[in-house]
Amino acid sequence: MAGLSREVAVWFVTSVPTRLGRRRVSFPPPVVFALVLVPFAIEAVGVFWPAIQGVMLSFLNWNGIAPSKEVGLGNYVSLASDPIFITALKNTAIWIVLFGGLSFVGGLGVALLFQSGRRGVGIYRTALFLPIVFSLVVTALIWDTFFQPTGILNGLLNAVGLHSWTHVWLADPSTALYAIIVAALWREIGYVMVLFIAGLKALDPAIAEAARMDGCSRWQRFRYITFPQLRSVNLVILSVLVIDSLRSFDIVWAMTAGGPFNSTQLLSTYMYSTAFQGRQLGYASAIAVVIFVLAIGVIITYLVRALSEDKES
Amino acid sequence: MTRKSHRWLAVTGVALAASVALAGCVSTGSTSTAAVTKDAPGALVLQSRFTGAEKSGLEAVIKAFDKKGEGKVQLNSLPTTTFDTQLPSYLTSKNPPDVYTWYAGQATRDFADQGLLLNLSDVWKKSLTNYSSALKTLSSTTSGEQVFVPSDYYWWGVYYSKKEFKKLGITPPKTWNEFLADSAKVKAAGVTPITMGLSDNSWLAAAWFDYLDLRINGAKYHLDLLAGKHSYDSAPVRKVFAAMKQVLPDLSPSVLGTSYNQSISDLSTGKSAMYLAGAFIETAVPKSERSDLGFFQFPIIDSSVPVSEEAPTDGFMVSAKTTRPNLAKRFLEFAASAEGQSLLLNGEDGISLAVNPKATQTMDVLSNQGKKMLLDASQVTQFFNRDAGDAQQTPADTALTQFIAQPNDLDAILKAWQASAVKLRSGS
Amino acid sequence: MTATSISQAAGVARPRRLKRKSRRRALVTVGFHVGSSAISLLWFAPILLVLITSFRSFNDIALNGISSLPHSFTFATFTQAWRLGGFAQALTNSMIVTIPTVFLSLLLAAAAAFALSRYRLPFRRTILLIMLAGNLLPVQTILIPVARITQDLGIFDTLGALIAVQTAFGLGFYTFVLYGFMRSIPTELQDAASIDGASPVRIFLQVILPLTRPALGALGALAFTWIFNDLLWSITLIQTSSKLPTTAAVLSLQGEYVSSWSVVAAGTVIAAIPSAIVFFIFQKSFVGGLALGSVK
Repeated sequence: MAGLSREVAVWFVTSVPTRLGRRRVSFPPPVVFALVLVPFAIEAVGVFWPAIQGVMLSFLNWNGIAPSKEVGLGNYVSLASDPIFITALKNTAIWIVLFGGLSFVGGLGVALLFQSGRRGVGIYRTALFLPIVFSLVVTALIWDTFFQPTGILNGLLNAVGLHSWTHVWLADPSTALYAIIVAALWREIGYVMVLFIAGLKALDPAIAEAARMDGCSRWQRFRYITFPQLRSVNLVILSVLVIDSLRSFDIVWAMTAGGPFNSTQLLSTYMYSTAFQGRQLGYASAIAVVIFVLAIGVIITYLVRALSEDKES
Repeated sequence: MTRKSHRWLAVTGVALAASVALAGCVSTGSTSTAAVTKDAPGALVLQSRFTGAEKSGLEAVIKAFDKKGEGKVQLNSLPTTTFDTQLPSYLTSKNPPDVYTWYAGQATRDFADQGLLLNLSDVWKKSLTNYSSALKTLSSTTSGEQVFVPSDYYWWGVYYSKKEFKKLGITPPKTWNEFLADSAKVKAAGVTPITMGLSDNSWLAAAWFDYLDLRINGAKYHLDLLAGKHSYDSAPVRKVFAAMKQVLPDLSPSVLGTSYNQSISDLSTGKSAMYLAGAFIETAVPKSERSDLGFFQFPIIDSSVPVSEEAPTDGFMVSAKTTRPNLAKRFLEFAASAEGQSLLLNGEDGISLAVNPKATQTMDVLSNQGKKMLLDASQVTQFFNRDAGDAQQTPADTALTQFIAQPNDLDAILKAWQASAVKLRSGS
Repeated sequence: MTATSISQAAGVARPRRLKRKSRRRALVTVGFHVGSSAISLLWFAPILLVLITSFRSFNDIALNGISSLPHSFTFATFTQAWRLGGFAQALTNSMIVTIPTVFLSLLLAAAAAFALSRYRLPFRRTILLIMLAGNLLPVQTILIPVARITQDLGIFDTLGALIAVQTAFGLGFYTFVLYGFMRSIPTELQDAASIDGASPVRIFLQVILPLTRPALGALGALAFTWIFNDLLWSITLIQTSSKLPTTAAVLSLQGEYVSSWSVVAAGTVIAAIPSAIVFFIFQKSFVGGLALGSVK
């Protein structure tokens, strides 16, 4: 397609010096290395080095105040037979699929809806973004109120005659997790919308316009023109959603703290509870390493394949 | 896999190997310093977990102390949850704050056992001579040295609305059977007998466990159980749960999903009749309803068991690494004096009691009732997390909430509880 | 070219067709606004509840619960929240931390993304993925090691430590996102500039950065909100209460056993205003985002 011939042309242009007998591949100027290495070094000191220490913690038993004890892989062995951990793993999987999937679809939907420069669009966008701006303590309280046995949701259901649909939402193990997902989606969709809008803004509108001239329907335009062009953006957003799902902690903690009796426990809440309530820092670090490995596994293999497929100029 | 992926994997492998080689470099120990005899200059740093009414009391004490001219105090008021999670970090940091507010009991001994607290025995010998011996024991480590200076304590009871009781035609019960009969009467009138805010404050259920254990098995067994000397999976504990089972039908059917705010509202509007709570609940009800509030002592189950009560006690402790030990001790002596105590408790809204017998504070009907109840008790315990250690609260909450939802699974619940408790105690 | 101009170009004036088309367009616009308003209201409802709660009195909420209709109206909660939470100091602290951090981390991340996406650096994909991986480890495990490092460096309990740590922590993610956007910028502009003899830094500042404005706007708004609303780093690295930021101030409005939820709600509203303002300002840059048609 047009892009490919462009890439070939650029490759030709940038490798002109090689024709003159220098190197096969154009070597970036040294300042470019600095542009990467400075941020990398900052991250290495501020994140990687502590992260390594954090991982090392998982091979110890430590409660924060007493001397630590080496246990090797003992924490990981305990994890494998820990029923709460298994529940948390299962819940996290449900969370990633539902929360991640619905955020993606919902965020894309409202981004498409609100991407135009129509009057008032700024207000709609702000309305969807506002949940992120409000601190979680109070929004969790509001959602908590919404789901109370005598709260707004049950009130509405009773008002329209659906008495049998009322539940004690946050106390029933079969509904609690989904109730929290609703609250979490309320926050996340605005955030995904922001990323999609920025991505849609960066697209070339001429191609879509040409397709519209050709008589393509909205759906066809979206499916064959817009969506494929969003590939890099989709990559970013899916990765972001998986990371966010694995890190989702605040809203679950504020609404149920992993209860009732561990039915809404996610890996992130279990890790927090183990670290700061149970004061078992080694065990908590082991859970953190599991989260990390999962995140790496899901994201990196997807990204490595996706990035290898694209030829870069 | 492409060659590029292979290269990347190799890099990751090297990174992992390097990090394993760096295994010994995690710093988990805290730096130790030699004992300090002369105070460093600067203000005494007081790390406090109070941001509400208690904060104003503390500020009054500090103001009076500053005026005395012996030194200044800098008060850091942290949000309660922040303080609670960060306390171990504060105590083990390089330059820890000097004085801390905290609770008495195992919660303090956990830190003392690691050598993190300053010995305050000379403060006790000098200024706290008129404090009760029970308080002294509470403030001591197992080796007999005091590491804690108490400041105040409060009572627990079954709170009710006097208006509602009159309407339902019942009087505060004294025995367990009377209590069950009263609850049945309440239920027949269409009112929920008992409520709690368990969806966001599940620790409230532990009050029922504590009191039933105190009434059935006695304070000594209770404290030994929480210290790990008995198993949760045992016959005496089963007796406690059997009694709790009798109460389950009287709990609101959606108690596990009821928030604290909702439960208070239910009590204030007459939807629920009784609430086992600490004195703090008096400040949670609307001010218009407060005069209507009353409480009765948790009913007696076995009259042969000496009557014990829960009286959570707050106070101060000092870091062993403090650079101002003398100033810290002088401050604590002042805070524990009659003058200091009076200042401290004036802002307390009548819901807690001074520990110094000579202190003056405004008392209302309920605080007099509470004080008498505690003075008459043969023994006083703290509360589950203060007696067992903070970390033990979570498995207790899990076990109790699960029992409320699935009372027939008692065997599995107790087994899991014991397993979690053991695991936490082993310090993993 | 629009539909109307085409038919005009075709030289045929079809008044009835045009009228029907413009009526349909009007209907679409109305439908759009109705639907969007419905969605926005649905989204705004919980926040509306927060706002309503913040104007109620303590007794009202204690007696009637949060989800009831308000029985009172008062501004006292806001003054109470402001005073009790020490918001004047807390907001200042938050600003001191957030603004430099957003600026620094986006600048550094854009530089790294630029270098990684526009140049054939060796190991560039590996570096990118390692930087992203830095964000994948849950932050709770590095809290204590970072606290130790800042203590050893002597910057513990300072706002500067917060700036440094938050900058470092965000770099991986921002680099990754900006890389994704920068990659899709066609190379002609850059090649034109480099053939003209511009250094990479000039290309970065004058060519690529302006083109990345939509992404920078989006990330800037998000970054501001995240750093402003951060709690864990603040409470881990700061011990002195006068240095705590807004999030801790809101938390301190909650008592140990009793909270006046209307005061907490009022505090939350105060705390939300800066981020809301920032977002409203930044989202204009999405509207005015440069279309890449300028390349043609």
